[in-house]
Amino acid sequence: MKLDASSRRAPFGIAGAFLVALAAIPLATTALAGPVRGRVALPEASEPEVPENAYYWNAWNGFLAAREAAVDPRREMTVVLRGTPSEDPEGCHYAIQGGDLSPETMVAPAGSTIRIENQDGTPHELSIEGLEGGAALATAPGNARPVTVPAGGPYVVADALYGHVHGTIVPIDDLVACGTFAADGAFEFPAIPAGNYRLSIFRGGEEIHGQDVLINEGATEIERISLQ
Amino acid sequence: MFSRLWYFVVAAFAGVGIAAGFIATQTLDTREGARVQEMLRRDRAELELWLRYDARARLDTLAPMAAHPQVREALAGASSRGDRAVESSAREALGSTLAQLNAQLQEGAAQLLFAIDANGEIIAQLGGTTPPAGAGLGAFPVARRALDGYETDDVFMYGGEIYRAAARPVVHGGQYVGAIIHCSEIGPQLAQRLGQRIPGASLAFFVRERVVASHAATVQNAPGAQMMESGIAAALAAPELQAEGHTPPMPLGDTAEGVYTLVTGTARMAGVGYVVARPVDLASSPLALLQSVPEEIVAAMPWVFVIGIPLLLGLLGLLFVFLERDRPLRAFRGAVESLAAGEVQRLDEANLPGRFRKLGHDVNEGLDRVAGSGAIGGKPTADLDQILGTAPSTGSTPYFGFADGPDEPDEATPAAKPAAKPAAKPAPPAPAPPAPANLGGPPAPPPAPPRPSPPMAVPDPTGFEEDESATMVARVPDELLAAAAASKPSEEEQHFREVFEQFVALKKQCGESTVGLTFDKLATTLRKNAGAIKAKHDVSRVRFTVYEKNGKAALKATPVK
Repeated sequence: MKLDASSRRAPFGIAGAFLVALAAIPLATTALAGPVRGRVALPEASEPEVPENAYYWNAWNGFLAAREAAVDPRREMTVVLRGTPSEDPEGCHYAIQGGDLSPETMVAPAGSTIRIENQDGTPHELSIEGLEGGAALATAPGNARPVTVPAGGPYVVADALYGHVHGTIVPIDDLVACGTFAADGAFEFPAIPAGNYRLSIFRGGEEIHGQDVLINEGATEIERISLQ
Repeated sequence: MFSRLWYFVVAAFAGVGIAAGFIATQTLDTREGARVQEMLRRDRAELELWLRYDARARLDTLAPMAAHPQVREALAGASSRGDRAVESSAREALGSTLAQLNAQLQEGAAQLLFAIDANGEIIAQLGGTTPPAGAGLGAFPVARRALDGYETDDVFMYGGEIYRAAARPVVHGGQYVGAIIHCSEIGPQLAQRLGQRIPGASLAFFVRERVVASHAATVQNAPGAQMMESGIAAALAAPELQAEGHTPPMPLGDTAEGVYTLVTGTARMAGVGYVVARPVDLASSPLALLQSVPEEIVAAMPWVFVIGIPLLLGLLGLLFVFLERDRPLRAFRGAVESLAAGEVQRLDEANLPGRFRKLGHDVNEGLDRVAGSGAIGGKPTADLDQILGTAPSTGSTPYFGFADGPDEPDEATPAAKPAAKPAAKPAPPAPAPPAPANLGGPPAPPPAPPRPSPPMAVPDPTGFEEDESATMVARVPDELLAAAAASKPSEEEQHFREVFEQFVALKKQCGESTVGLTFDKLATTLRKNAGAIKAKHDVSRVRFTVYEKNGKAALKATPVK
C-alpha cells in the first residue's frame, strides 16, 4: 500500500506534532532512485495456435506480405523488482485491454488484492481456477474484477466469453515494483528507493529470467537481457 | 377339413395382417426417422455452406471500404501518431466516411463496424455502444489476423451480442496501418433468412443454454424455440459437440429431432451455436398409421382388391363350410329322417358323405346291437307291424291282419309286405298293460311299469326322432284261441297261452268281441310269425306283448337272443 500521511497523523497537540516531525526526518532522507530502464532481446515468436473451426476464411490479402508473428512483451511479459516486501508494490496495474489481459502474467504479494480493470468496450467474464470466489463473473466495460491472491499458485485466469484470453496470477511475497514493457522489449520501472534488488521476468506464468541489480540514485540502465 | 383349415388360414391371414401392420409401422417410423436425420444433416451442411459463402461475400463487399483513400490515410495517421492521442476530428471524419461507405452496402451493411489502427486501437466505430477511450480490439483473433495481413472472418461476441465478423487489412504506403472489421448481428432476421434456405426446418441460434434468435418452420408440428432450447443442455454435454463441432440428430421430445452445431468462430468457445430441427411424423401404432394416411392415398387405394379379396375369401370359407358341414349334415339328416319315418331299416352308409359315413355306421351298429340284445331298458327292437304287416282297422277283418283267415298267413309276413305306414303319430299310452310273458325261460323279468309311450317303441340312437308305432295290431280269431287253449302247453305254448289270455282279457276290456278267437288260431299265427322273426333277426326266441292301440287290443313281437 502507498503510504498515506494522513493515516499516520499523530494525535493533536504539540507533543504529537513533535513526534510526527521526528518521524518524518528519516523518510525525507530516503532518496528515491531515478528511472530504472532496461531492454530484453525478444525471443522468436511461435505461430499462435489457432483452434479448429475458428474461421471460414483466412486468406492473405495478396498485396503486402503478411506480418510475421512476433512476441508482444507488453502482453506476454512481466518484469518485476523483488526485495524488501512492500505492502503496495509500485507500478503494478492489471487490465483487460484490446481483448486480452495486459499483462498476461500478473504478480502480487500473497494476501493482497489486485484489480483487473476492463478497459475494453465489451464485457468479459474472467474466472480464476483454483481460487475461492474465482468463478466466471461478468465485468462490464470500465469496471474492475477484484481478486484476492492467496499463497500458493500460480492461478490460471480464463475468460468464459473469449477463448483466446489466458493469464496467470503468480503470488510473490517480496514484490517491490512492476515494470512496463514497450513493444520493442524496452522496459522501465517507476521511481523506487535505491538499493539491491532482484529483477525477474515472467512469461506464461513462469519466471524466465532473474538477476540481481543495484539500483543507484538517479537513472539506472540495466544491461540488455537475453532471454533463453 | 377345408373349413377347419380355412379357419387357420383366416387366422393366419389375420395374424399376418396384424404383424404386417406393426412391421409397416415400425418400418415407416424407422424410415421416417432416417429420412429426417438425413435431412437434418443436409440442412446443417446447407447452412454451413451458406455461412461460408456469406462470409466470403462480406469480405468481398468490404474490399472497397478497406481500400478507400480516406480510410487508409486516417488509419495511417493514427498508427503513426506515437504516444499522441488521436484527434477527435480525425475520428469523426473517419466515422463519417465509414458511415457513407457502409450505407452503400445496403442489405449487406454492417450493424457494427470498426476501424482499428495498427496497434488494434479503435479509431472509429459505427453501431454499438461508445467504447471507452483507448479501447482496442488488437488481441481479438479476427483483428489480429487482419492486422497481420489476412482477409478473415469470425463469429464473436461483443457488447453482449453475437456477430459474424469479416475483417480486411488496410494497407497504406506499403505498410499495414490498420483493419476494417465488418460485423453482422446474429438475430431473428438472419434466422429467418437462413430458415428460408432449409424449407420445413426450424432454426435457432443459442448462447450456452439460451436461444437468442429463432425461426420456426411453417409445417405441421414444427419445433419451436422452446423445444429447441430444451435440448441445448444435453447437446452441450454431448462429447460429439466438442469433438466434431456438432451432435448427431438428437430427439426433441417425441415429435422432433435436431442437430446442434457450434458456430465456426471463436464464439464457439463460449457455447455459441445453432440448432436445426425438423418434426418427425411417427405413426407409433398401426391405428395411428391408418389415421394419418393422407386422403389422396386413401382415394388411390385399389378398393376393389382391398374389399373384394377379403370378401372372396369369406365366401370361399362359407363354401367350404357348406360343402363340408351343411351339405353332408343335410344328407345325414335326411337319411336319419327316413330311418325315423320307417322308410328304411338302416342308414345307407355308402351314400353318406365323409365323416357321416362313420356316424351312419355307428347308428347302424347301434340299431343292430339293440335288435340283437332284444331290449334295452325293456323296449323291444322290432315290432309286429314290421313283421306281420299293418293290422286291419275294422273289427270285421280277421285277427293279425289276415283278411282271409288263417289260410292266408303268408300275407302277414314282414318279408312279403313290410310295413309302409309311417308311425309319425305316437299311440296313446296303454292303460297298464299286463307284463309280458317270458318266452325264453326263468326268471321272468318284472312287469314293466306303465309308460306314456308304447312299449314297442324302437329307440332312436341318433336322437332325431322316435318311432313309437311300429307295432303289428291284429285280431285273433276265436277258433284259434280255442284251439290253442285245447292243446298241451309247452314253454312256447305256455307263453302263447298267456298272451292269448292277456289278449282276450284286453279285448274284453276294450269292448271288443272275442267270438271265434281261439288259442289254437292265435298260437298258429304267433308260431308262424315267431318263425319269421327268428329267421329275419337270427334269434332264438320271440316274445309277444299285448297292449292297447287305438282302443283295441294289439300284439307286438320282440326278438330275443
